Amino acid sequence: MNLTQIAIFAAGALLFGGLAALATRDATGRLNTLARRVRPWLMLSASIAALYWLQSSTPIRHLDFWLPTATLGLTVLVWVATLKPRPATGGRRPDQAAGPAILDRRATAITALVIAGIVALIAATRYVDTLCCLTPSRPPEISAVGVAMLTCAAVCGVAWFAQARQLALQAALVTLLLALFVALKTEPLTAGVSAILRSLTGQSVSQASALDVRWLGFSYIAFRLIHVLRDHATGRLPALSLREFVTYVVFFPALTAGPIDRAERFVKDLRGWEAGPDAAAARAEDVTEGLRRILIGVFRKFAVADTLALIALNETNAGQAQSGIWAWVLVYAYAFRLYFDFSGYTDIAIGLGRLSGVRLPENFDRPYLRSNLTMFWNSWHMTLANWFRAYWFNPLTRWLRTAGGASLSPSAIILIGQTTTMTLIGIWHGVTWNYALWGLWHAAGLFIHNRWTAWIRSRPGGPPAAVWRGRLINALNVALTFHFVALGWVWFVLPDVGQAMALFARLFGA
Amino acid sequence: MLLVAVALSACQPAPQAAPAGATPAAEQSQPASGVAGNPARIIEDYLKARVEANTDAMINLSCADWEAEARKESNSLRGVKARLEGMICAIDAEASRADGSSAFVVCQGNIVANYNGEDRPLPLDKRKFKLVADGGQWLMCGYE
Repeated sequence: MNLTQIAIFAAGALLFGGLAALATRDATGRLNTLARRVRPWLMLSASIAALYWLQSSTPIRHLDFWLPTATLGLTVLVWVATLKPRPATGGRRPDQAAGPAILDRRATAITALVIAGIVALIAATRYVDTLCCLTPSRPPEISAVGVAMLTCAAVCGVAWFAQARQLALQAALVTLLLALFVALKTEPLTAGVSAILRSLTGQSVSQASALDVRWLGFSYIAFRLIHVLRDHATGRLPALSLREFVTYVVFFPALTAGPIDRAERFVKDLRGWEAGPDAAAARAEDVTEGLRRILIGVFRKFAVADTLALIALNETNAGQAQSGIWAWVLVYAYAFRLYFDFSGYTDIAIGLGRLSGVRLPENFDRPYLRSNLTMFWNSWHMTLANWFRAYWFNPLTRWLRTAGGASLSPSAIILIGQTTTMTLIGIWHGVTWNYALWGLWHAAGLFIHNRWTAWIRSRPGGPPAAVWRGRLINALNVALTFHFVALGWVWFVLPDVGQAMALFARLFGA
Repeated sequence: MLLVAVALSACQPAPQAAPAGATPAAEQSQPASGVAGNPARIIEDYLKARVEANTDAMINLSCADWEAEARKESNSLRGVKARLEGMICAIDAEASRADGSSAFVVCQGNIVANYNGEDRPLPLDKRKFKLVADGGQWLMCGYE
């Protein structure tokens, strides 16, 4: 997002939040009814429009239109696949199970028409030069868009009639999302996808490149969709209307880079704002806090991070640093640049959400001030870590403790869990050796910390340490953790492993 | 918000006088083939993308045979401050095919590239821009 987009989103978010405030003042009157009816539609429409507006340009013709359209199609398809309720599991009461999602056929049909109408309107700007275009390039012909919509409707229809085999359908969708993910993150596969798309658009196949396919926010959208599919399968997902579901998946503040919210938490904010004086005060606080977070985020991202980017480690300057000191300057600059860039973006997203009346989850909690690596990963990109913990680490270790590896020791189970989790988080950024090594670096650090903690706890306790000694040890731990993380970024930022090794040698005086 | 965003993205400069013998972009009607987009407007967008070194936009406005050249043209101004001066493009109605399968556009004005503080104008009127109709839209496909 650039500053102009942030300003426009903030204005829109203030409108959505203003509608909420309007309803809190007039609990039973017409304004309340109007605000309650209009706000959800505005938020849905704005999020869909943002999906197209924020999509970056691509050299493949019309792909900047088709990718957001595919996002909407996948979202609707996943919603259809979660229509039939699942029995509650894990001790939940039956009334907490996912209820029937076709709560109102008329409302669902209207929502579907609104979504289709917005997409058609965006496509129609192709024919009006003065209005063209919300997307970076001219959208495809309206006939092609019509065919795509009918195809999506047909696929959703098939999914609807496949409700009897719901778990198989959901498993297929998870597989599809993961396959798309792998295709988009693996360079040779992405180049192949580009070649196929270019042949369809009549463009030069010889110019195909992995850089051609840039799908805005696909990773985060996939995380939300997989979370919904998994939670529905275990009976933990509440009933969501189509409008609520689509708004949750493509909510405009969190579209590009999260945070990854949970559907059940999100819809509470979307649905519920109670009338009364306390609610009005809470709404006023939302506005001030939202604006504060946006300003902090803009400063962090556009002032601090963009300035640090001038001296932060990258492929080019890694080979130019001739001394160890300058190599450390590059590494430190990158560590802080990455933090301020990512946390700044999160501040903007949370601020926009707060203005809209939605409290998105926090993603950072002073990660570089943590005294061990476990606490670092509980405070860096928290929503991503929580997602992997919930949908990979915990199920895997649970399975290893029971059916899968009853003969494995607890430390072996932890090693497998941490190694696979961190490697997956690494290659989530891209299926390359350097990202895998970065993941393994952190897996090793986490395991070492786990074993160290277990050993410390096994020792008999002694007299309490002096306060100053405790603080000194804590400071050393914080410094050690920070440097471990900072050195890990070398793997992350340099795609060539040899270049990373050369930089490590320079950092340590070789 | 959607209307605001579309309005912002649709801001257009005031129309200027067209090259002699050509039909100005603002006054042109759509070719009978029903191809979307105005050929002169496509070339104007292509030139704007060129001075911005916006490779993706140039490729999207180019035919398959021209894509490699479009990349070269984009790279030629990368790292250089460039701007358009007095650009006006118009269809060369005499040269364009009546069946609407191809069109020629003539432009006047300059691309002004700044090299170390020195402005160097690159005139736009030395060549005709050739466009072909492909996939329902006009695409830049070379020079004549």
